[in-house]
Amino acid sequence: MDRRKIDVVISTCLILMSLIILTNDGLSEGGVETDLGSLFLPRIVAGLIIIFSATIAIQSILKLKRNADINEEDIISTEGFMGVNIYIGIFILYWLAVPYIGFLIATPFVMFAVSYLLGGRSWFAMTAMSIVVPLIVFYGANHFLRVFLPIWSLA
Amino acid sequence: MFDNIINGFSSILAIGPIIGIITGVFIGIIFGAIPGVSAIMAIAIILPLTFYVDPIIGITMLLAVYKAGIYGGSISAILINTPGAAASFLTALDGNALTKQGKAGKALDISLFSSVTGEMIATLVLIFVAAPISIVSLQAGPIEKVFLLLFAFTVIGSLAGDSIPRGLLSCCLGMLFAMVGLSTITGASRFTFGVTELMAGFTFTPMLIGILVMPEVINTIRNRTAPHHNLSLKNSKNRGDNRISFKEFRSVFKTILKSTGIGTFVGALPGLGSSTAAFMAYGEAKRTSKSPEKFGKGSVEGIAAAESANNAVCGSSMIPMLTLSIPGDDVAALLMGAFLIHGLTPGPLIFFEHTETIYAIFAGFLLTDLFLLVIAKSGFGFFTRVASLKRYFIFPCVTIFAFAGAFTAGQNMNDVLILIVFTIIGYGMRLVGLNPAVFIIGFILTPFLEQNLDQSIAIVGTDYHLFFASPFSWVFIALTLFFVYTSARSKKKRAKQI
Amino acid sequence: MKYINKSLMKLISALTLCLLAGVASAEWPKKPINVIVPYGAGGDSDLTTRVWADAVEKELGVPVVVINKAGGGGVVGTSFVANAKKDGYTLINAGLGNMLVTPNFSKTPYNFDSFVPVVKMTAVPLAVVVAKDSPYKTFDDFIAAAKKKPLTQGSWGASSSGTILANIIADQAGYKPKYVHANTTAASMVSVVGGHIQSAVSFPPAFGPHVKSGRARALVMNQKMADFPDVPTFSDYGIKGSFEGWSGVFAPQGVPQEVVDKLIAATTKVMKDPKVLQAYANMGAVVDFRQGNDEAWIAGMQETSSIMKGAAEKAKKK
Repeated sequence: MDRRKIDVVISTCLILMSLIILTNDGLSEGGVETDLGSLFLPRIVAGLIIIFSATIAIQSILKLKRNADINEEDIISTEGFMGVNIYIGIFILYWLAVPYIGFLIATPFVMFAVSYLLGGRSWFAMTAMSIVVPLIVFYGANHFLRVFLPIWSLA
Repeated sequence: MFDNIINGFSSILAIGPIIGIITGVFIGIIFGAIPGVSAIMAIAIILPLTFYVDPIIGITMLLAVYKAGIYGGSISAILINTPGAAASFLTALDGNALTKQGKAGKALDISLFSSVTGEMIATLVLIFVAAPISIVSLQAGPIEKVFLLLFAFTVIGSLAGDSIPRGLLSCCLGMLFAMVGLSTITGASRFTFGVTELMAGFTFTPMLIGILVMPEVINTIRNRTAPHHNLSLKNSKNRGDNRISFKEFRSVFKTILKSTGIGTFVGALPGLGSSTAAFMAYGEAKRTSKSPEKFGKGSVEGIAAAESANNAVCGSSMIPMLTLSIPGDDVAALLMGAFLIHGLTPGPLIFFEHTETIYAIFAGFLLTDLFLLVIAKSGFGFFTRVASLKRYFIFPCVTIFAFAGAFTAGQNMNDVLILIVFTIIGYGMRLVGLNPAVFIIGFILTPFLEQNLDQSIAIVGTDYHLFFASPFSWVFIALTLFFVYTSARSKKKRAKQI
Repeated sequence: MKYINKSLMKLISALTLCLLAGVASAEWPKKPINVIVPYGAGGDSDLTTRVWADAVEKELGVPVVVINKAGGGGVVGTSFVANAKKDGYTLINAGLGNMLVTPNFSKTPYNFDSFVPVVKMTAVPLAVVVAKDSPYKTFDDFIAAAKKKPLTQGSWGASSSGTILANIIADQAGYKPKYVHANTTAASMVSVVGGHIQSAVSFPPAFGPHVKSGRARALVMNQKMADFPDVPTFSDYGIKGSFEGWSGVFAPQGVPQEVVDKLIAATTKVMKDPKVLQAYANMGAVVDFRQGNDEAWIAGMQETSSIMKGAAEKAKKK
């Protein structure tokens, strides 16, 4: 992937967002105003974001215009992204499932899946780890941290 | 004074306090090392338990948890690049780079030695010169703090890396994210779009794990097809790579002293905290270093600077708390609660009313440093063995700890969503060359800046000269200009060399 | 199979019990109770609640867990409890700020009526504090000077309970302060002692140590306190109203009455424990134990709430 093109897209989005912050008063609701005001610092920051994004975007556009050879730091390698997508997918499923089926039931599957994704093939050790670690975390959180991880709540 | 300290030692050297300190150090190291669970949680939970024991035992134990917790974060930072606390993520930069070169032992050694040195010195400062320092720190009001914070922001220049606009943009994004939610000053809800959950802003712990810890997991997954031995923890055969020689320690000793000074100073000013101290010390060390190009790529000096500064804060945040009853950060606030509930009202009188107890606690501070040194050092072998397990054992566990840690922050699932979102944002930032470390600095410093700026404007009103009325302000303005000038010059110099 | 049948039966019977409202909670409490403190760890509200939770835990026989859900001046934690299950396992640390002030001044998804008062443990009288070398020896000096030229007064947030109360006081006394908003009352005391601002409104846990050691002076307080016998009260200066912060525990509206009763009973026992009383006294708070069925207390809160509503409308018109 060519980072210069991504630069242009992201910078444009950031500039548009900053313009909204600069012009829209509805972004802060309620409260009592002080001398500084709620939107003073956000607007300063928005202004700075416009400046810096524009700098980055202009540099990238100029390079693209000149058809300059792409140099090393402008190449984004996408190798191995499939695995990352799967990992994030697992995490999101995990997040959705835990409130219903509980930490103790969901976690072993997640650990096993991540372990498999990372190339683990020692089935026994992986299974043992996937069962023991969640138990330790659950018990430890319960007794030492007084954090009560979600439990099975499907009646 | 000296016989007070000797008396203090004689009352601390009993079975009860020593068991308390050892337990505290263990708990602190473990809590600090696990990403997502911080020492402050441990302290908040242990706090009520200490009501029932003698204050000497209870308070020294809490302090042991605090000190060991701040240190513990650096272990996981060095070995598997997952900083356990915000303050130790600079350690992760250099420490993990050393680990990848097979010099984990060296990194662990220097982080422990500089942590303990920083803490010791700050504790001695606390014992001997607490009163004068606290009077100086009172001179720093909101106006002076605005200038101090502006100075802290200049450190970003030296952390930003190759592209200055990208570094500054990362900082601005961090600042913007910090301003989401209900403003503590005006009570207005900003950028919440009607979502109640956003009123609290972005919870810090899950965000931190997402931005600083998870990218390491993702990197490992991207390289999952590479054979294990390419990625595993290497241990250099050369013994010199696995320890810190006296000569090396002496060569960074000046950095440690200076960083401890910065840490002690920042800690004595209420409200800035250990992360700020670590950033400032790291930036300063890089600016004055003979080999600034090594920073971020495995610099022993960098680890020494960050670790000694963030640990010095532990000792010196007690200064305003004990002498003026002003807690410097959230941990100090909890500890002050412990003092109050034990009937020891912090303030100058505490030294006369409770001489015995307070000096016993001071002696406990120093003893904690010793125990920390011994216990942590003897644990290195174990930590290294854990970290050299196959990656398909380590990273599923990191995933679970990240999940549980994010949940722990507020005991709800929304924080886990924040973790997922910031994992994606953090990794995306790395891909397009934005700097996550600088993003975090912006996020941490912005609330302080806004709060102090608002107060300054209210104080100044229309008398604008008040902005420049105090010598403190001038010192920080001068420092800021000096820092910007020298970093710009050294950057130019380096550019010429290439 | 036998085992599954058994647990299935248990499940069904539990379900039927749940359906018969109130019966399920006959066994309350049977799991840990969460008390949400809507502010950070280490503040007055947090410590007060932790002492209470630790003591009540022994009476109830299940863990009482204090969780800090800070942010948004208390709105976040309080809204969380308002929307939580009404089963008595999620309670809120209530105070002047999150119950009576913020709902009137900010956009919140809850109001005072979303909760049932359970107990009130402590009260802290508001005071006006100046540094020790301040030229204002009495509140009269202060008023006179403030009428000539606005003086800076520290508080904690423009829509915080501190500023609102300070405004009511200032209105009656006829001066207009310039507010300087720190994030906590402890932080604004730092600015007073350091001489950066001319006065502050504050509570005893924050100003107590400074006043006792002589670095600051309380000019006037809401009520007499044994620790500060010489400080006059607001009514001495003809200022009407109740200016106190307080800390209690509320439950979301709709919890079974039995939960409230059991909590009141447990707290009543605990508030006689000299250790608990000593802990509160050490913190600088006044023990002011009230039960949720105390009509006078509830009427007082409703009155304060309507005063706040009026103040909020006035602030908006400006």
